[in-house]
Amino acid sequence: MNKQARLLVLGLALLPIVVIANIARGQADIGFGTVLRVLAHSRHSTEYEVIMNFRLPRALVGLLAGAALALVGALLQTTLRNSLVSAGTLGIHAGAYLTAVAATVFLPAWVGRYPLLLTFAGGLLAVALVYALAGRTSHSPLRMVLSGLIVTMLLGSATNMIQILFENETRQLLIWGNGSLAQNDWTTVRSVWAPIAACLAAAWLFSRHLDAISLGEDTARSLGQRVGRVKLTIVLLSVFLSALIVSVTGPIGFVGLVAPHVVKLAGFRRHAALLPASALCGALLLVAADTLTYRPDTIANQVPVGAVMALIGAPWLLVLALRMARSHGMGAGLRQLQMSQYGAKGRFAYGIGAGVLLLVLFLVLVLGCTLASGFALSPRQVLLALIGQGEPLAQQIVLQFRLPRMAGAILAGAMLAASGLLVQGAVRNPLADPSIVGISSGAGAGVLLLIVLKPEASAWQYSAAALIGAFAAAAITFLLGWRARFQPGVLIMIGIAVSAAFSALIQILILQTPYSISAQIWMNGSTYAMRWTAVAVLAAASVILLPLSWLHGRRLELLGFDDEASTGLGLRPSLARLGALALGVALSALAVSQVGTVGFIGLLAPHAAQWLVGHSFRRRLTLACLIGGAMLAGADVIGRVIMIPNEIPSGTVAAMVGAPYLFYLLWRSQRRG
Amino acid sequence: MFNFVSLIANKHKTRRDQKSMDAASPAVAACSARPLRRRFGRAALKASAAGLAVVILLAGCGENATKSEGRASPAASATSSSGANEGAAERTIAIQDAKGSTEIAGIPERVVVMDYRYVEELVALGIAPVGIADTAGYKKYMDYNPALTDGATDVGKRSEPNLEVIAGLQPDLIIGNVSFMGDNYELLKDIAPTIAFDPFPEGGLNQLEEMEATFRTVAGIFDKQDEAERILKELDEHFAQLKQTLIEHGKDGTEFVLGLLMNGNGNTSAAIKLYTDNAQAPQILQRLGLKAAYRSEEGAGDGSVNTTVESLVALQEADFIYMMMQGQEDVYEKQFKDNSVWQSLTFTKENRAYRMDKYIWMFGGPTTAKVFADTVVDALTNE
Repeated sequence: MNKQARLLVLGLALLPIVVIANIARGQADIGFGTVLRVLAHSRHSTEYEVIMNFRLPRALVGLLAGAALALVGALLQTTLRNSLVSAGTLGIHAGAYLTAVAATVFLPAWVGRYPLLLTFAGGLLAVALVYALAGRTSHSPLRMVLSGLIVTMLLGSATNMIQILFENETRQLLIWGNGSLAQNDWTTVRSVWAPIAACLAAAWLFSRHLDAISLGEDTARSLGQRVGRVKLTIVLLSVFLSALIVSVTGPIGFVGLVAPHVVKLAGFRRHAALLPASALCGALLLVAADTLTYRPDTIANQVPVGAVMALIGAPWLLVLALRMARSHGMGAGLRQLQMSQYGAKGRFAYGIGAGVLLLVLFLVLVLGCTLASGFALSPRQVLLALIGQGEPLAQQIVLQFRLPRMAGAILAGAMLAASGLLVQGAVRNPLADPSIVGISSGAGAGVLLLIVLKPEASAWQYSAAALIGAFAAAAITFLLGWRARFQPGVLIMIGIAVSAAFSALIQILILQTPYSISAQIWMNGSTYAMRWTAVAVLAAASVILLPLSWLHGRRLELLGFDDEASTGLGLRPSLARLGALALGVALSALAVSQVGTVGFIGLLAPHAAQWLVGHSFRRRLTLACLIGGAMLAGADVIGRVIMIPNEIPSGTVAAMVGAPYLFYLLWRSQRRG
Repeated sequence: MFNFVSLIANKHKTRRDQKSMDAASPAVAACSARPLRRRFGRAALKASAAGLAVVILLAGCGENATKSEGRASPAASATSSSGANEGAAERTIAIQDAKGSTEIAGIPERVVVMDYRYVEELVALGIAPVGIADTAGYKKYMDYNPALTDGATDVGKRSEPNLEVIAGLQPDLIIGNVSFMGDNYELLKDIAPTIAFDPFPEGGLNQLEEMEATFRTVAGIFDKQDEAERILKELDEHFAQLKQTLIEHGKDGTEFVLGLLMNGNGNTSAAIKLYTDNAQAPQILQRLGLKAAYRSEEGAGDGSVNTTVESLVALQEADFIYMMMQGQEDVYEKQFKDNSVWQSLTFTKENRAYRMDKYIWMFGGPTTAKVFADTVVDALTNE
């Protein structure tokens, strides 16, 4: 207690120091000395106005927002008995951002008057979706985090879609999407300090209940706690508080993850002390991060505070993951899920399933070549063009524009699906996606680094940079995972942390590029203007890697058991996992290098395949490839013909179309398992 | 447990035995006892894979054939259409652009333009393009001669144009901005000769000089150099007139800062975009006799820097000329007017913050330059 009291006092003492450090940095040349001088003497100069009405409100919003976010993190972590949840990882931020963007387009009047209502609704939506996906929360903590990631991905795609379709109206929200504490005056501080203080107090009143819950739900019930009711109240309070902060500063992640852990490391256990300590730590953290965002050499806008927080938080997450490696229980509880998920045999005979899918694929191919996506061609012209006859214009359109896109989409979709299957088998988790090992963010960071260093790179240089970035991220994940002997749960955590770190890098780099248009296009995941050279790369990769995956199939089925059983069956689990992961990473990285970061297919196709044909890995592989190919190709066609002459990136379409189906599948799997 | 043990014990059994073992083991999928269906499935797979391969192969052959024919078509149409200008010998000129040198044969008649500024320049020379990228954007910022642009087809976004639409228009020239084109340049080159200018050169020319030079180049493609010279000369004369007006109002030689007020993050903070001294707009104002107070190496990209009202503190002695984007005209009222920092700035207190009455595209051609200069002088002399 004594030590904790001392720490609290220390924290309080640091507060004014941190605040002063923050207000001494800004675009006007007002440093520490000037601050003191101005405060003491010239009370009505411009500098005084800047300090008192521009910078100080900003620092105070930082304190309040940091405290609130950290508090939400601590509350959620206790209530959901999961040290990995926070407002960001649970998808609340994504939900709030989505509703803010949607309202800006469809209900602009509301945005000015009821911003909090909108963000609150969005946050609730996200939490509801996460609960739907994750099921009973006392299962594996990992499932909750992964569900949060999926929901974030889904809501992010929906936001993306709106931003593409309504570019002009949503342009101003782009910067806000990364979080910013900038203020013009004291209005914000005046309007939020009371609700935040109230929520802090309310949460503090729940300390005893939270202490009981942290002993375990059954224990808590036996102690007379109304666990369900308490949990619901706390979750609603958390969503409200997060929504409040998001409506003011935009989404800022990682504060709610790092601050509570720092505080717990310092020895705080009981919530009466833990909650205020978390709030204090969060406040200090966010203001300190904000101070770091100023670039002293320029008046240009600084790095978003969300990116700095990510850079701080991601390594922290890594350390956390590695520590979790020592404690058991990350992978448990998933085994049953995987095996009994859809039943051993699946719904259809393999042959029929494969045949139907091939037909679908063929149909999509035909549609893709025939449907007008800018210039109408009759089927006869298309047919002539395909066999090398007919008018040169038709040949150019079919053979240079449409066909390579279709072929590339099919191949990339198949590769992504296979990669998803491999990764899910390796980490023994049906919610895993190749992007969790950091591939997508790594590839994006690679591409952006290239754009910053060499603005006029050519297409193949983009691909090479993406590949290198993806492999670098995956390599880091592997290296750290090797130290943890590739335990699936830990691997996922490490992957998430690495992914977050590279995403932060992306956020920072994107501000450095003079024109980040190419980068944005690429990051959307699209098959726009795919060339035959890219198709060749994809084809070569498929021809080599897919058969290898096929051969690896037997071992992967055995990986479905936990390690002892698998070893007993003659398998070396870590090696098998490593092999599967390596193949998965290679497939995904190569696909991403050509089409950008396409999500969802690696998640959805394996599930659909399993639903169709049951367990056999090889059958699932074949079907997943077919489904993945058909999905991405279909998404490409839809994206092209819907909004001529503009187009919606195929990655976004795939996400929008695939998400409801994914939810359906996962929800059904839960009811059984 | 029994199954595992027996599996381990019988690791080296024959294939047939192993199959029945596998059937008993839950680890491996219960391979169906329907070999017929399985074989059918496999055969179907193989056939379809072969079919797919054949299609792709054919396409590959077809592609090689297309490449040579595809390029033949625009050249062919150029030769046939320049039959109309029979008098002028079919000349080939080499145009220098950001990608090197491109040869243009004859005088192009069907032009697809990929950035607003070059549309404006073509229109100023009396040429109607057949395709424009982001027509809505163009019309929003600079709809100077609708008669010439209304018939053009929209070809999609500047950065992601619809290649089919462009190919379908059968153009004989594509002009664009290299920053937006990215590596679409190669694809566009396959459709028609493509010129990609860089309006934001690093070092060397400032943006205004670059604009004039490019305007002359573009005119040269269409054999309209005289027209271009005339327009530029008129522009210079107009600038001289405006300079005189400013002298009469005692504004000659004043320092200025040019900025765009924007809605920053959501609605809680106002952002300002400042234009550096080598950007086109401040250069125009310097030709009118004013002096740019904000000099910087930054914003090398397009000559603009996104910042906040704090950065005006260092520039507060100059005149501040500002505008707001269409649809955001309330930014001043909501974010700046009552902002105590804004109110404490010298130029605000001395009423030297001048508001332009409309938004002007800062990266335009000669016509836009004239409109911009007029608007600024209006703002400076009428308040």
